[in-house]
Amino acid sequence: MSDVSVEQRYEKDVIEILSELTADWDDLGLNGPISPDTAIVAELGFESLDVVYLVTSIEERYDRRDLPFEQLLMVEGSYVTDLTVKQIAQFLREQLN
Amino acid sequence: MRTVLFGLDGATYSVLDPLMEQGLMPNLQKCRAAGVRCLLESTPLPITPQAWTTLATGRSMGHHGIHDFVRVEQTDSGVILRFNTGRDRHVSTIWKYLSDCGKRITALNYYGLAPAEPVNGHTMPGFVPGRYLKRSSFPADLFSRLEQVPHFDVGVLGLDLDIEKEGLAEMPPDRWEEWIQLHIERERAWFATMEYLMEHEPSDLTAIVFDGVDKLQHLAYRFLDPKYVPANPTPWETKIIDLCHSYFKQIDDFLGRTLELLGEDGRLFIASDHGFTASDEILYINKYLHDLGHLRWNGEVDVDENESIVVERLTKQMGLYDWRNTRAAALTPSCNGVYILNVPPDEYEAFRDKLIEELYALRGEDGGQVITEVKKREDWFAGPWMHRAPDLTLTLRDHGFLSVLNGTDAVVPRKSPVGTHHPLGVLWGVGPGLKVNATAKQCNILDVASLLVHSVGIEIPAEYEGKFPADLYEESYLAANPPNVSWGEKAAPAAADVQVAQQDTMDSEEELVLTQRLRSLGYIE
Repeated sequence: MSDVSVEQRYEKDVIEILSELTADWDDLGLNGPISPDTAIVAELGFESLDVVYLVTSIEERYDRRDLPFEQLLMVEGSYVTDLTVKQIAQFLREQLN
Repeated sequence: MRTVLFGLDGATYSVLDPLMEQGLMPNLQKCRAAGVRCLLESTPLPITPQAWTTLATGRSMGHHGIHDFVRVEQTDSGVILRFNTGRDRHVSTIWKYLSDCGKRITALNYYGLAPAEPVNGHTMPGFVPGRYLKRSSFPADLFSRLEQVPHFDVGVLGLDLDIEKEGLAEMPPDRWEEWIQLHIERERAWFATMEYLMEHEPSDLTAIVFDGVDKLQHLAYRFLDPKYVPANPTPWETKIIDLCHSYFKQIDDFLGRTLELLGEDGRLFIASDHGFTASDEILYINKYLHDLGHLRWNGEVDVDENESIVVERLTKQMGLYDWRNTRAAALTPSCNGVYILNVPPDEYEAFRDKLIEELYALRGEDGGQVITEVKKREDWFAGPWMHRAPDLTLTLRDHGFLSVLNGTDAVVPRKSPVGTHHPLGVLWGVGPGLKVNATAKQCNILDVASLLVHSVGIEIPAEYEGKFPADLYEESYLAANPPNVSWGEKAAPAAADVQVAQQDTMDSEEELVLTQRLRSLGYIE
């Protein structure tokens, strides 16, 4: 499978996970569907606990408890302020391939 | 026998007894006359995640793995905080065990039930935001059945971290009324759920936790414990005292209705995960560690002026420290712990011993010793998951929680006392076989799992670390209904008695996991 299609597969996975995660939210302020460029904090309104549920959902989907999420969530010892679907997909591609 | 665990998070006799004496809790008063009660010693760190998990598993922290709401992981990228969930608990619960034994259970607003685990019955977790409550409950169609229940409102039932944090800092007077009222409504929503399930889908064991008791006491302890209640309250204070009384009166109404639903042939236990008392000073432990040269802030760090113990956003906290140049730091207030970082294994023991001496040496304004006990991880949290506990756990003279913020001084008196956790909570029992109008010997929270399992009529798993609290029962009842231990595949000891022995030993698999964890943390080569 080419790099592009692998990337797209993980983007599709992340979109599915986020769609399922936010299915019961009544305050989702996103205009239009979740896309690779969607930012989880700025556009989906994620808070710190939502990131916990996202991590759990990803771990459950791939049946992995050992993914180094700190590499996704932290830069130089501080937490990142936002993440896009594309960034999460890229992290998964790096870790799972 | 049909059994109810009526959980009151943080309940203490210092508050409940005066409320009974004032006639505000008549149903609790009836329980006093018709049942038995005792002090219940909490876990070495008396907080919700560790204590309720211990109660529901009969295992200590080193074995079940839940120390705090969050856990600290040291990685190559830095120190990361991860929230604990039910997946981080590594032993079975009474919910699962009783289900597997063919009993039906209901557990509501209990810590550690998310993500949902299939059981014979129902679970709805506590400490979960409303937006995740449906997906975290079991069975999947439970919500559709509950939507018809009056007061059932996901927005009210769920955890709102921003609102809860308000109760842990100085709250403006004009916010108190709404904040307390919200907790009155939350409890009503949870009780309505339990009432419906007890009426329409009854279980052998029904458990519920009212966590507003803890939250209200954090904020308003000085209006509940007569030692602190103002003799001549202002009109605002009178209003707040009345609201606090309304909260407890409602809890008492729920208790009365629960006893009614349970009937005379059922058994009810009231338990708290810890007690409560008043804290009158703040220990800015990181300020002290900084002054000792063990911690370096990451640039200029604001000094707290709001009597807060935690940063506004947990994720911001990791940016407070210069990790590479820090050797000791407190990372979360709830764990009352100090983590040792960047200390080579061969220097660890000496560094830790010196640090313990320095911690004991800290004095308050009055010259008194502020830190009364320093607990080493391996002494208090032994087991395969002890690495999740901080290196040192502190007990303060007023039982307060540490502040992780920077302060003007290490120890600062509070303007007004606030509520804090005390290691001694409450345990009551009412129902067939239990003593009447009696006070029993102090129990440990490790003992409660065996109490519940026996009450439902099932053998007590051998791995439970507590003792069966036989003193709560009439001897004649226990003679006819002994608390038998289920040894499973293990061979029973030759002289097995009714008490489940304290289990200090680890099996080979646990030892292997422990060795690997210690090696990964650099404690052993």
